[in-house]
Amino acid sequence: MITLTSSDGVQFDVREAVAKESQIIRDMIQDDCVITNIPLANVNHKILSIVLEYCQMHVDKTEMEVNASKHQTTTGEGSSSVPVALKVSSNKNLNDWDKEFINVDLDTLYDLILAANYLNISGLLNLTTQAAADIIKGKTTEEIRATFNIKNDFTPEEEAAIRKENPWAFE
Amino acid sequence: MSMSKRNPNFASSSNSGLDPNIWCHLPPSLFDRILHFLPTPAFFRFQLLSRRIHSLLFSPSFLHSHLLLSPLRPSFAFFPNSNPFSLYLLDPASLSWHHLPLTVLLPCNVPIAPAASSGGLLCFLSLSPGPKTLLLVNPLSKLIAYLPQTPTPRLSPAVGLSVGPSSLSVVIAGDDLISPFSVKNLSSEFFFADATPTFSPWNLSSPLPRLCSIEPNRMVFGGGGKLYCMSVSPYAVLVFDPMSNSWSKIQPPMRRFLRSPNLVEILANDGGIGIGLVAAVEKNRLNVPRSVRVWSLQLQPGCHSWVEISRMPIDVHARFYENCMQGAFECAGHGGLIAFLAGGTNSNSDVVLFNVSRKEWRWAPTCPYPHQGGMKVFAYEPRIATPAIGLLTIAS
Repeated sequence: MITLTSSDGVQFDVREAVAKESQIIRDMIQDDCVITNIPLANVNHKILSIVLEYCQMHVDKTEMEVNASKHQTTTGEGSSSVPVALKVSSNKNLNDWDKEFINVDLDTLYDLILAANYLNISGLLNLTTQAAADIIKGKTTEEIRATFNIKNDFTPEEEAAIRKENPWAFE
Repeated sequence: MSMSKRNPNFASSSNSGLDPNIWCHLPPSLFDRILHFLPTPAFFRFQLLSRRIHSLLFSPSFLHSHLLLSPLRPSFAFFPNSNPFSLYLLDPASLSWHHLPLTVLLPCNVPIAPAASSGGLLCFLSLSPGPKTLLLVNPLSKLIAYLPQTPTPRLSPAVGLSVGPSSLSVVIAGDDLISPFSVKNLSSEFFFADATPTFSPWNLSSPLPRLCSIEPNRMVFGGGGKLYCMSVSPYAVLVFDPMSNSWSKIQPPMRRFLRSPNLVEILANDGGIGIGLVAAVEKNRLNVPRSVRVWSLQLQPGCHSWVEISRMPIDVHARFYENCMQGAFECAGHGGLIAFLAGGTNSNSDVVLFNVSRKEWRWAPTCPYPHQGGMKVFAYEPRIATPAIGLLTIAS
């Protein structure tokens, strides 16, 4: 077990495999194998508990698959196509679970993006940035600039030239 | 913690308002990461945001991440027969059409026609008889590159294309010009390029199986790097294995009753790429309802079989068939989707989309752009980064 301490001092005891979903924690454990308590200065307890829910689910699913295929090999039953089919269906379940999981309010989504980036959990970072892309894809450039504080530094001529590069995208 | 407790307001609120007080602090590197996940039109629209974001289009590290992160968006490219310079893009996810004019990209002095598509690149083939010129185009990054001319003179050969992140395979087969006035299906030629400098283009020629006639002039890459194409009278599926540089034949199902058979790429059971056969079945003696069926090729070592996956529902088929001139139609498939386009010159025909895993048939919205004289359809994946085109000399 490893203890992860959130920025606001809440401790979470998790299995090593769950903590290791984070690349940054994996690196810490590798460098110092007696480490058991890791303080995470950039993640508060609310976000950390959501992140750990994600890690727990993904570790459980992977372990289920490994066990299923081990069982397959030890019993020697069935053709080799069975674990593959199982893997596909369990991937599908996991994708469905991810979809449900990421249905969070937008402030939480923001915190999750930062946490996934800080902890370097690539699956969670892809999931959260995809969710953000789905939200901004329908917005106008003006709305995006206002939200993300992006300054329009194009001259009107340059802007017209960029529109002309891919006019179909502006239809 | 249960999810409903975590976000009590979310389900009820359709509020997609991002609070600028929070999101304005998002580091630019993470904003850029979000860009990778945008659909292509939004990605291009957001080029207008600022100079920094526009310059990402020319940043090798951004394009590299884009290649790795950007999710595949299986789409379909339609070309009106009357104008190969117009690409009509159908995005099945949003069911929207876009018109990408290729006039400025493609050479206008040689007659060409679209012949194949793979990995974000479209392949155009010169129409004039003789050694063939093939041209690869990325309509989004606006790069074009020529393949070396084929050694064997041909009239209207079939073309197969497979584009990986750092490799490129092209097969050209059949319609060998044996005199200025006659053709015969004799040979195929294979082109391969990857990052190793040893590639020698078009060096592999191999004889086609006897008595074959590739029709339609399409080849589809299936699992294991093999190419599949349809041969007519009698119907047979021809398989080309680039590893052994040899052709073989397999029997299609119900081959005496097939009409307008097409091969498509479909998802195999293991999630990899497989081969599907789509054809109308007409059996006069037995009372089989006339419809379009989809089979999947099951390959086991040493044997193969066809498994029927689905049939076009009667009502869909009735409307679709009405527009098929002499019952002809064509198909393209990838990413678990198959698009059906009525053949001939009918301009009213709508496209049918079939979702393989959900076994779901639906009509695409009517193509809003002119297509009198009919269209051709290709499975096309919009990709901004297609490094494989760099294996060839980019034409400027």
